[in-house]
Amino acid sequence: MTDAAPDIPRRSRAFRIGPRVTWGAGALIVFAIVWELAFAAGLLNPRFVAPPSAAASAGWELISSGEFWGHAWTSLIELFWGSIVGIAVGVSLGFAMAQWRTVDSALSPTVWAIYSVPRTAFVPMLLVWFGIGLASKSAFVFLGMVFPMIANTYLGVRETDPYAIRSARSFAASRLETMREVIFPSAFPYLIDGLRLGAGRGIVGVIIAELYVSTNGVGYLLRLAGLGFQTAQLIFLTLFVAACGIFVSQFLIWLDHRIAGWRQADTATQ
Amino acid sequence: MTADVATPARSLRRIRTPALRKVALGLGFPIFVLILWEILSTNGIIDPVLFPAPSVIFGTLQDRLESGELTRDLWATLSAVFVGYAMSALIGLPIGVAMGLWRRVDFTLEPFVMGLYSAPIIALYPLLIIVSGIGFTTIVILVVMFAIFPIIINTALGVRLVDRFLVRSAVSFGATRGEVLRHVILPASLPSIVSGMELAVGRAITGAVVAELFIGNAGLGYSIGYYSGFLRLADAFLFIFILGVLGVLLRELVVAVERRVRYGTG
Repeated sequence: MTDAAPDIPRRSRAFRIGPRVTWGAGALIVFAIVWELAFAAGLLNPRFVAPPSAAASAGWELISSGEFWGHAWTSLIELFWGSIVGIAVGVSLGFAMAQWRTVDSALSPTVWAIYSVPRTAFVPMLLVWFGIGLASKSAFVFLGMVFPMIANTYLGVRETDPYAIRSARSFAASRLETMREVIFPSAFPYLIDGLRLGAGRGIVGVIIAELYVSTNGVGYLLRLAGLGFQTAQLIFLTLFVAACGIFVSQFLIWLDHRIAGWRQADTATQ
Repeated sequence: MTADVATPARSLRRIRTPALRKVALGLGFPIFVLILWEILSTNGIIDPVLFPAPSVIFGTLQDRLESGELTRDLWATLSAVFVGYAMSALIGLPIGVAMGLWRRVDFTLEPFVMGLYSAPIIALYPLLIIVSGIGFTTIVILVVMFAIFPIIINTALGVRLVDRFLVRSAVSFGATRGEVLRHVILPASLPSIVSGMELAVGRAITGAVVAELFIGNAGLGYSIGYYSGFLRLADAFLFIFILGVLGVLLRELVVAVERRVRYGTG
């Protein structure tokens, strides 16, 4: 048995209904029941925590009111623009840094220096620069997306088999063709992984930025619920955001598996 | 003959010049940007309120040092990060090992780990304030909520992927369960554990900053929010810069400790 052997079932296991799903779902159900019972028995202060049933009904109320979807739409748009620009800039920079040593030497110390500052520190400043609306939230999403995309694009391009590039070139592929037919497919799993990281950060990032200052969005709803001690709503919204994050992450894992299952990404996971 | 002489010279140049070029470019680019920024800002071509010149930013250092804010903030942030980080390691490592050793523990805890990892825990800050106040305790709790998950996830991964032959051969040579854990599983999964611990440093600092932005009354995150709110961006930039330096230093510290542990115990 080699090191790689246990890897393959581990990767695919998540996509089948096996013990992982039954145990996980079972644990969640037991947890919810215990929580509900503890509440019914008066062990938990209803001012700080709401039982799952109350969270569910508060959630249902929110969802069936049209207001919620307006806020969700705002957050989605912020997420969308930040991600698109972050991906475009991150992939271009990462690609340029991997291809040309001059660009790499010039940019990488600066890029990593900025990367090492916790992104959240920029939130108040982004608000001053871009106002309290769409632009500042998108800018924050951008910060969360651009660095993982740079790092993973760089790694993916660098990890491309040099023989594959050389043989493509010797069969008269142009630079652009080599890029499109060899380097891009080879780097793809890395890109997906960067996207997964960036999307996860973006989703929590939008919420944090909206919590800080906003007049709109899911984070704004969370702020209202929190400051008004509407615990049931607060718990529902928190779980809703977590579920969105998990869904996007699982979807991208699935996509990677689907499109590039032939190649195992071994990326810098952060 | 000439080839013999030329070769070492050429190879020397080949080695040294790119290295020099690399350093020159790596330092030159940020210096160029800073000089450009300085010129544009002092001449008012870019708004000096929104983008204060680097000289102005570092000029605030003395004021903030003399007012004692810098010491206060560094102390507040560092102590929260240290306590939170230590607690994350103390709680996270056993959970991660248990998840790595037993599949059922792994499957049972996985939805909670994933859920809490992806949830915007900071949104619960109004509740946390009621439970534990606006001080140190609440900030430490938030640091733990940020830093513990990379530790759990990477420890579980490392333990899960330990070569089973190593474990089996230790057992067949009469090692007890505790000995297998201490002498085989933990050393073999150390690289993965360490990478989790390294990631956790950054997450711990982020957690402290986020917490301070929302509920602190001291700390680097608090001051960044405070000065930005008064449009004193030079001061805010200074604190962001210090935060960056702090992050790099703390990460280096963890790497150095890790190297010590790994080569010290062999």
